[in-house]
Amino acid sequence: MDTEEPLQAVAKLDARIARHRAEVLGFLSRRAPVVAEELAQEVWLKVARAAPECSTDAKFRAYAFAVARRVLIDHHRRCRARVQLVPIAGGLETGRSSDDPHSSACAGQTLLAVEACLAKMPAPQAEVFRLRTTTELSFKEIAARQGVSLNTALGRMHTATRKLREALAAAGLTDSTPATRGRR
Amino acid sequence: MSCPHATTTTIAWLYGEADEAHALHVADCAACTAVAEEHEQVMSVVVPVLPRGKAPELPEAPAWRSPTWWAAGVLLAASALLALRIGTAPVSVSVPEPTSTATTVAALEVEPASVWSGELEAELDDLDASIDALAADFGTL
Ligand SMILES: [Zn+2]
Repeated sequence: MDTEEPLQAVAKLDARIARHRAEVLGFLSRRAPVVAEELAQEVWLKVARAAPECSTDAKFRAYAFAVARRVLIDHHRRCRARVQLVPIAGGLETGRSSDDPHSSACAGQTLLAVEACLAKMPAPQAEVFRLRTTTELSFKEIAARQGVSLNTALGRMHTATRKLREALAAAGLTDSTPATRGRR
Repeated sequence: MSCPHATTTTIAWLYGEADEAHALHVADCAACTAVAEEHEQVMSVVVPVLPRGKAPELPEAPAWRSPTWWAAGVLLAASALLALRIGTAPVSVSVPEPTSTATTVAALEVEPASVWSGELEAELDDLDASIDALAADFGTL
């Protein structure tokens, strides 16, 4: 068996990871500063395990960023409900956990915008979004619960997310930094 | 810019419900990359403020669908068939007491083979032994 080829492949993968390490870490640091290093480890572990066959370096970079986004979504979901908000007359107020009044005010504003947007959606669409983001139910379980196909549930999640992004952008609550997709 | 995966497989992949290999497609597809960005952006803003939800209760499965009852049914059917095969009246067998559906389902999830390789096989072995003994008795008559 020729051992030259696998060794070369490992060396190539190593070199590619080294080339994009700083850039991916920078991306993660902007999105999740406190745990960026940890998330970067997770990204490179996934990449090394998959050992993707990317014909060009640009493709490898795009691949690494795709994995980084997935890892970030996992991270956001693991950290859900960091700020607990309770409804009060005429608005929302933080119930506990955040000592920073600015962050509490932002969180309250965000929650109001999110709730208003979810309230405007068809109920099954909002339900898919809520269940997938705030509980442990999978899309398959949500689809079964709603009595629809998996693809319908996935489509509802997609539409709900799109509407939320538009609502958050309109309220000036989303990050307006340029997209970080895989292009040079 | 459109891709059939952008509203299906890519969404499932982003939430850990599709093959990891789908990352290669996402990396190569502008529509799916845009969807990944969109979801990450919304999740980063929305999830931290949404109160943690409680999974809604699903209706309990009716008792007749409980695996214990099902196993008991199979056991009784097996006893009737074995009895017919040697031409005797059905042999009475003891079946496990039905437990609550939740407990049974949980046990099945953790160790799916336990019902089959454990209780059921032991019952069938006992049944075979009883039948052999009966057959031997008939032989001596
Ligand atoms: Zn695609």
